[in-house]
Amino acid sequence: MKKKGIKPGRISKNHWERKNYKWIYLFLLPTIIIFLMFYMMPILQVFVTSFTQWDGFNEPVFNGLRNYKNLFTSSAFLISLKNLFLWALIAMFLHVGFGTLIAFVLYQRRRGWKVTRAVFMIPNVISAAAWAMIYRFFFNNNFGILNSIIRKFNPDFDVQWFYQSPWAFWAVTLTWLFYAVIVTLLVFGDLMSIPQELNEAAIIDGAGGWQLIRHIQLPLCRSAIATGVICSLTSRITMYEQISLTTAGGPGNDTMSLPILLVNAVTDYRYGYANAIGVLMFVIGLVMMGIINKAFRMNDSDY
Amino acid sequence: MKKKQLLAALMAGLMLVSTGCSASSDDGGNSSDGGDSGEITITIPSYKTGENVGAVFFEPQVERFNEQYEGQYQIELENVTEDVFNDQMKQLAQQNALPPLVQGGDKEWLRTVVFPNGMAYDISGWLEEHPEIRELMLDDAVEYCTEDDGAIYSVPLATVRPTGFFYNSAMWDVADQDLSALTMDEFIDLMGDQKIAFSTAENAWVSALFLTALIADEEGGVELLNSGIEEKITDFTQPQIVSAVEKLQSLLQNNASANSIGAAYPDAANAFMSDQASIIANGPWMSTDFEETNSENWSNGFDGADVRASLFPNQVGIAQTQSYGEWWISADASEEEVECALAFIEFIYTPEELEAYLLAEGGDAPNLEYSEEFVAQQGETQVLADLAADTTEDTVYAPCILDVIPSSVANSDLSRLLPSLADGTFTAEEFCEQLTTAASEATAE
Repeated sequence: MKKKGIKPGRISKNHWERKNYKWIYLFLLPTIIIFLMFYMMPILQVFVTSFTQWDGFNEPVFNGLRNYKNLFTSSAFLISLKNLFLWALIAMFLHVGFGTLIAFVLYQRRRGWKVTRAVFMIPNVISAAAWAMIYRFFFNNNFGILNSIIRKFNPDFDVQWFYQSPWAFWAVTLTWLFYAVIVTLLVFGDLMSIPQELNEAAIIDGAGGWQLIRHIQLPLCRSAIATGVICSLTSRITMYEQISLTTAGGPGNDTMSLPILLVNAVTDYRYGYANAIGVLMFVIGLVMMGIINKAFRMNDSDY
Repeated sequence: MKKKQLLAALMAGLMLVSTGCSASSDDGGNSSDGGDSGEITITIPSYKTGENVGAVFFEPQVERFNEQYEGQYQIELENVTEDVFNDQMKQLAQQNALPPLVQGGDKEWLRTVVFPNGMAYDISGWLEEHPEIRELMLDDAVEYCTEDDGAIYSVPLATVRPTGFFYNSAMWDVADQDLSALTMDEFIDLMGDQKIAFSTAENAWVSALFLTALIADEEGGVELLNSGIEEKITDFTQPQIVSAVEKLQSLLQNNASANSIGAAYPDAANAFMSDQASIIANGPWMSTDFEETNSENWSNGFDGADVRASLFPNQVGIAQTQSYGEWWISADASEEEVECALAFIEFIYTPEELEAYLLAEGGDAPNLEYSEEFVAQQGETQVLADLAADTTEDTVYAPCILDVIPSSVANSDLSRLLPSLADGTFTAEEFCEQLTTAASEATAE
């Protein structure tokens, strides 16, 4: 059996790697500690205590799958799942679609595009809670702008947008639907990084405006759009302020959502149950990310 | 090379120290300070500070205490928003960083977590040494605050502030009638098409007060509400509640002010103080809103001087005498901190301070012999005088429904379902069934 020899005076690559790894690990240590303390441990705690009856203070008592059983037999939970599914569809097609459209409009770099981009950014610096309050006034039946305009044409119009079925669902949807600046910035960033030669080559080959978008620019923004979809969907899973400050999940359960149920459970000192909801939100988020990853082939190279 | 390695190791070590150990120095900001002067200082997180309506009386009261005990005791207030106060106390408790003197807290949390786990200081011995304070306290409150082993953790209340309603006598001229002596049906008939400022958002406070009064008016209603003090009400299909909800639905459909649906409390108050509604249910603390000094909040010709007050029909006053008091002392407080905290409690239970409190926020101290000056001053505030006149030994006290149902139902489900009751989507029975479902889900084990 032959043994690979090391020439005297030369240090092997493995030796340097081992030596470097020591330092790499040392510098990674603070990050790892922070990750374990502030991410991993709470996540694990949420998972473990979701199988317990826990008031958040006394020792948790293991109760098997009872929290999950209670959850899946709760009508409010099932409606909140249905709402999440609908909001996810709306987010994926309309919200992301709108953000992408704006990015393509900005990419034309017509006169005033920088101002337009800045104006489009403004809603993003206002908190969701503040927007919810603004929309409460906007949709107010007595003096809201919307109903005031509608009453110009139909004086008898009388709709409590946030408090009447089926309008409440759509009123809540409108509080976030058109604020797609994250998507716009992501897509716009990708558009700006497309090599000019590609566009020029396509134009020389006879590609018109729509063909350019359809066959060159849109495919090259695939990853940004996918990231936008993920951001948008995870926002729908965690959407709380817009609902809590407007409809509180009502009327009935029309706008019920998982975070509202979670907070209600915490209010009742049912931390085990609340954490079961948290686990489901986590799992739903992971599944959605997996599906988007696959659907948009995010691991494939663009070029 | 060695130098570089040494520098790198030093930096890595520094990063570790800064990230891993920086949290350990935090003491929650509630520490006492004996100081060199010998003055004992404690910090109390309080929501009765800043813009909170309770600050109007409480902050000057703390100043009076600090002046009286200058050089001996000092209380500093830390501003905490009322909405997050209870949660913050829970977090401080979990970190063993409770302030020495704690202002209230979630009742359920106190009952099931704080007191059974020995987190509070037993004041029963101190109360025995101060019979003059013990005598001022409400018997119901002392009984409720006394644990099975005789310990008393929460400082029992000495005052009761029955909540009724206010009405604008310029819009509804019934000042010559004793409204609290009427039956509920007579009251509703008399009301005709007068508008009530309801609220349905947040915890639907104003609507909940009316619902409480309507339940209390039903036969066995007061007993039903009182039963919820020990064990939360989860069955809303009981006949007293269904009947009360039917009446509430009628009031919401026929007498609610235009902005009631979706209104939070400030919206309801605004409706009342802008002549859009002539009636609003609320506690006596609202009396300050009707003083000339707050007239910037009035509009459409509203005049605070026109406002009168009454308890609800059948002499129902919404108040809970069987409850914990406002203060308790942390078991982790040092001897000096306990001394300071007890001195503060003794101070606020002096007849002068109790009378000042009643003048500022209304209510009654049944075991206190009022001074002549107090009686004269109370008469100067019309609404407080109205409520004082209505509060007699025949007054029926009932706890607010929000205090006797599961928290999530009180804080979320009620407001979520009320709009559907108001617009007729739900009948009273359906509304009650929905609440029952929500309550059973909220209490499922």
